[in-house]
Amino acid sequence: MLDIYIWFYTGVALTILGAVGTAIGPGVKDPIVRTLNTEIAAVGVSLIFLTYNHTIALLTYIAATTIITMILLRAIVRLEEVGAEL
Amino acid sequence: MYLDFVNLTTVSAALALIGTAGIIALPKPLDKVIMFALLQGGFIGMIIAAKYLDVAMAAAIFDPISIIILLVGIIKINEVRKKKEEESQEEGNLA
Repeated sequence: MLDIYIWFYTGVALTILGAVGTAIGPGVKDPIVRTLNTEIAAVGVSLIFLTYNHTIALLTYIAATTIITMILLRAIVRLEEVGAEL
Repeated sequence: MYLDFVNLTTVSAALALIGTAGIIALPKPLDKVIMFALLQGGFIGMIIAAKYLDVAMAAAIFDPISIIILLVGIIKINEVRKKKEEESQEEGNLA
């Protein structure tokens, strides 16, 4: 019983901390730092899925987060090569 | 007893929170990636405490892929920035 509350409150804490860190964290002028901070919020949402036993949603979300990271980083590197003002 | 609090869930939660603090507070991207590995370790520990071993297997496969993608991206963006800096310096010398 205690375990479920620990998962849920850790998930909520991670989601809020990740969101605040992505928005106004230290050094978020760099897009790479911002992308890395979004991973915290992704793990927090996954923990909330785990609390409610949404197994398939959890599985899909883990895979989707990896793919989203790949696409975002590719776009950031490409835009930096082109020299676009982000 | 306080020893009741030492189980897989609480230890993993502590690991995840330490990883979160590290990712937000540390300035360099490489340190951030290392703390991200810590965060993922705590996450996998909590999935295992929920006894979803199949999900834990998928997470254990996808997390190193994510870390490798981040490392490749950081190295590439570092190269691009260094090249840009050299180019701008050469332009300054020509002028």
